[in-house]
Amino acid sequence: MFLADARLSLATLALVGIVAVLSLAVHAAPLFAGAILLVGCFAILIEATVREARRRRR
Amino acid sequence: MDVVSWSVAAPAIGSAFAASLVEVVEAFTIVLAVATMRGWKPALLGAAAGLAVLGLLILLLGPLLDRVPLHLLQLVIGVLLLLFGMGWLRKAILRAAGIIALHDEAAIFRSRQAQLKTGSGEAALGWVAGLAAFKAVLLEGLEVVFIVIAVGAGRGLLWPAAMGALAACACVGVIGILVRKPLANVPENTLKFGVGVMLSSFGVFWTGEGLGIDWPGQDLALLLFAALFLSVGLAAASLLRQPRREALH
Repeated sequence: MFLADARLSLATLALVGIVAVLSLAVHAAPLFAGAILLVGCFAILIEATVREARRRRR
Repeated sequence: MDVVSWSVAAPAIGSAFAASLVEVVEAFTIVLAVATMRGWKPALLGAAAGLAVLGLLILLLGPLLDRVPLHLLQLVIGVLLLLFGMGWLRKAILRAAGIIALHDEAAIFRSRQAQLKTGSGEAALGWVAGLAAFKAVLLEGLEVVFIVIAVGAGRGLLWPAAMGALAACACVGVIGILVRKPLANVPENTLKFGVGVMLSSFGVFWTGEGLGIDWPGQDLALLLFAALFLSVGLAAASLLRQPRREALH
């Protein structure tokens, strides 16, 4: 279920880790941390789909 | 349930229904292949055994959910939803862009039939067939249970989410009994796209809540996340489709 794209899964976990540090350790503004989480998810999704599309077109 | 409760429960019921529908259709395809090749007895016995194991897991592990601190539960479920939802959305985008083939239930049905045809020994084949049905129901059922927990736990919405999942099982069961063919006309990729959007949105919401982020507008933020994920998904599918069109000219 989660290993179909290991890089997507690892990137998502890393993003959550970064947001956790921002939110809990650095005490960044909650909305800033939330925006990083949301935009980070979009970036990971786009990267994963573009990477797979390029791989299959080769 | 009053009007306010329905507005909260409806997304949980809808998400669980749509996500479970996809899983139940996949399980049904395999159970039907088993029934067609080896008869209904091994198919139903295997499916019943799978459901029994699932029921036991729910009874044993379900009460443990109440013992987990709320923020930790929100964070763990949020992260799992993100992983699950983004994985589904990635595949749905690639299928919508024509990069990978659409999920073909009819082809899967024929492939399973071919697998069950080969080999010798009727009794052994009956066991193999029953095992195939058992595995299909157990694995797809575990994904349904995960979806129900992810969508409903931590907010008192487990029962509405479970109702959504049960409704999906009933729908597929009734249609399957009437049609008795692989449910190839279910718009699976459209469903997976929508479910990927919903699960990813829930994932961002719950992960944020688990990390202490108070989303503006509370539950209304889910609508914004869903709109954004849908826009990003459709834009990505459209952009990925374009280089193929250019290559054709």
